[in-house]
Amino acid sequence: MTAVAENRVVRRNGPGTKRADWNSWPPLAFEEMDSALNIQQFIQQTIKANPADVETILTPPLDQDEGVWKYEHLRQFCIELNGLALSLQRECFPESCQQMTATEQWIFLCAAHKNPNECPAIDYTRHTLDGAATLLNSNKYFPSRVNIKEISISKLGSVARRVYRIFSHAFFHHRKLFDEFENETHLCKRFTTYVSKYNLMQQEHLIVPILPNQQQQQTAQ
Amino acid sequence: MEDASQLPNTQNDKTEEETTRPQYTMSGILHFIQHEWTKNELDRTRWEAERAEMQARIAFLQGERKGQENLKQDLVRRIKMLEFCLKQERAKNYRLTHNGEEPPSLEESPNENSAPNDNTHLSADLDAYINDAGEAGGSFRQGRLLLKRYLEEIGYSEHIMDVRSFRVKNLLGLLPQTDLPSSERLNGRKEKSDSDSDDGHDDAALDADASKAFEEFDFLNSVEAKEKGSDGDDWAGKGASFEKLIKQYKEDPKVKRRSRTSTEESDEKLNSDVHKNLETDVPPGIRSAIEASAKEDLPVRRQGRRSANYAYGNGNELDLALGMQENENMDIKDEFKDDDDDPNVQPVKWNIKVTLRSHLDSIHAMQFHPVEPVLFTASEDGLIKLWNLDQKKEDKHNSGGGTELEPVYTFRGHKGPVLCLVLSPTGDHLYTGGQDGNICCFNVPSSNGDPFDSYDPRVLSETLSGHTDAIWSVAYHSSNSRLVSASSDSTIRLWEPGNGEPLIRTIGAPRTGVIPTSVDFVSTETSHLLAAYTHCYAQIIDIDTGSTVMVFDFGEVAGSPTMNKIVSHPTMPHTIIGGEDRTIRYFDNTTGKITHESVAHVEGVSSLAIDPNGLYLLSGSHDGSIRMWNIEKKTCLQEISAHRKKNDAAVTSVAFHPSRSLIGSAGADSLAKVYVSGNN
Repeated sequence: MTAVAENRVVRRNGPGTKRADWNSWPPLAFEEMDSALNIQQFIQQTIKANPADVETILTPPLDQDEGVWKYEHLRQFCIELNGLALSLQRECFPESCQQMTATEQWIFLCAAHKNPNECPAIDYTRHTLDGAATLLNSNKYFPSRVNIKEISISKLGSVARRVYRIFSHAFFHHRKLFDEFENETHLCKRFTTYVSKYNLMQQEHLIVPILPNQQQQQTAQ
Repeated sequence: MEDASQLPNTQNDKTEEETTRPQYTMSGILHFIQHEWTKNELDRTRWEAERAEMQARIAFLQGERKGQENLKQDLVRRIKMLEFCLKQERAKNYRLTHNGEEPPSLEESPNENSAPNDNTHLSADLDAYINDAGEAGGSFRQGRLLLKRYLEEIGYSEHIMDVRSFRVKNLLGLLPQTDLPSSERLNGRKEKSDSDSDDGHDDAALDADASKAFEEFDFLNSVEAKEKGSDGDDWAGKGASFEKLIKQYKEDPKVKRRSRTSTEESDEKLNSDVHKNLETDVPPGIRSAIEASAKEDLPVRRQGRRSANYAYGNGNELDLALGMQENENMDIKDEFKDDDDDPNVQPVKWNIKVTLRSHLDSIHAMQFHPVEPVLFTASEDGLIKLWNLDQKKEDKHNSGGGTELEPVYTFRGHKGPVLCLVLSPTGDHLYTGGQDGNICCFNVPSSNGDPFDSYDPRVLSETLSGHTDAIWSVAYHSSNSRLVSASSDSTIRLWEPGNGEPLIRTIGAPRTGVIPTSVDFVSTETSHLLAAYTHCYAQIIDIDTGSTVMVFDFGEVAGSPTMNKIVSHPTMPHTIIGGEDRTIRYFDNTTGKITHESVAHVEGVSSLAIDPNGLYLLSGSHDGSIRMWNIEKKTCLQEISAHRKKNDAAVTSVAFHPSRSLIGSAGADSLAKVYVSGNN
């Protein structure tokens, strides 16, 4: 702390910052984050500390409004899912994945269009992520990132349900890519824990066996 | 407790006591004492109630007294003001009649003296204005009338009010005179005297009232002397009522006419004294061309004054009120001319047009399309978005609410944050650099396309890899379609996209540990590249040879701060650098020396942009604000607080539209904002 007092730590990635030094400032206690975007800062800080520690990442600070907490986490999922979408862009082609499917059970229709459309998987992925970004930035539903209306919280569930299909498609159709991504980010594990914890999706829709209890279930079947 | 226990007994004893009155029994005495006690108690409560009533009354009366005192003080203040006014009028008059000589001693006479003076002149004033020698007396009279107006303003006497309405009717007959050209104004005084004598009987009646009033005020004058100390402060507080007075005064045609007389320097002195008293700004007095202005038509001049009012606000109002607009007019007219001559003094103001919400994390770069109202933003969320600012379509996610602008296209090509972008001069190609060390070359799709069209892999035409660390800046060389990138692997690389071997040259850092942060091409020498570095270093590089042409001389700088952004002036061999040390530095490319440097923001300057004509500089800082600068004068024209902080980062990028009146800012709060100039 004395070092901080003597030479103020500037917490930003200015021009010239090396990749290794990205966000590499001493962690700040949540109480000391005085910006309006403190939840996003806090979530990114805990992810940076250890992306595998899903429990810690999903543990809100004391007295944290749950709506904002859920919202900012979903935002973060969408940010990181762009990485998965980029990988898919390189190997998921409309010729091979004509429809957005995971198992044979469902074909998902893309909700980004006026009339839900049977988009190829890569388009579904892109449209869904773009649509989610738009919705999460919508002035109507999420005019503020500090205060979120109860009615808007219900939107989080449908966003979560749609973006989850990107995980499931990658898992069932591009397993190698999925595993690489998951080993690096632990994103699907975190996402599954998140939606389970906050009841944003029904358990039977969580078809990627990523959590230990899901894996047991699958072997039992 | 004792009382309560004995109560039943006394009840019983009552009848007994009446029959055996002469006898003093123990119980009888007790009863008597008790009876007396209750009676006294009753009285006491009544007295207390009475006392409370009296106290309330006293408080009320005290309040009333205080109110009266306040009123009294108010009146005293008004008198002071009037006296001052009077003195000035007298001085002015004196100068008028004595060919501009300074009045002998009127200014010096203290208030205590001038007040009795008023009184002595009261009775004689009817004669005083008739001849020229008595002009000074005439101004007394005018002053007195003024005082009357103030009195009626505060509702001093209904008599005066009645008289006033009568007077106003008379005055209305004189109104056309107020529009006399200024050359006739000096004569106007005489005419006025004549007209005043017409309603002389009226004045006489007025005088009776007024002299009574004056007597009273004379007494107040002594009070005033005591309270002088606090007067200064009170003036400010009385601003509101004062303004009201001013307004009325202004509307008085008589005052206007009287005040339209030429002036002298001493007037300005007095003038500034008044200003000081009233704690308002003193405009700089410029004495010039009184005659020239006198020849001008009045309406024109008034207009000029009005338009110039903004500069002086209250001060000017006061001058008007105190009958000194003539010389003020001169000052302001001159200043106003200045404004006209130099468009930079009154620059266009930028107002927010639209906030672009779609990125999920900090935006790092933005650039406008060279021609179209189209904007590109690059964000830490890994995406680059294309926005069509003319797009007016209603969004289905936003049914009910107003239009909300959505990106037309989202570019995916970088793994992790996108840090910089540059467009080709036609706007057809987009080059972006990311934290992943790659440069993506995109073919820009139509800005009117459907955001939910199917994915066309041809949009990402090429990925230039070679850098081993984050790319922080890219610049496009328009004449030979080459690209320059600056990376935190300490190199600057020259690329030729579309070539089989795109990497043409790698330029190392001037010394180890120094990292290039920002690159731009010199507008006047196309083969020269500007490069800013960490550790307070910047240089000009010849891109054809890779050799250093010039190293900018920063002089002594503490802490060797990172230079965040370097830009070339669009028409001159000048370079502007924004630094982490909050400073913007201007360099001359031919000498490499600093021509100007100034601390421009509260926190580090993150971004700079120059308008296409090279007149204005836009700077963005981590203090959350963007500032518009006049490049020639180095003055700040406007500050807009634009973005909120995420960690210690706020504004990360600013941009000018190359051909339209649009500017933009982007920030760590995931938002991009577009501003339009005020006259749009």
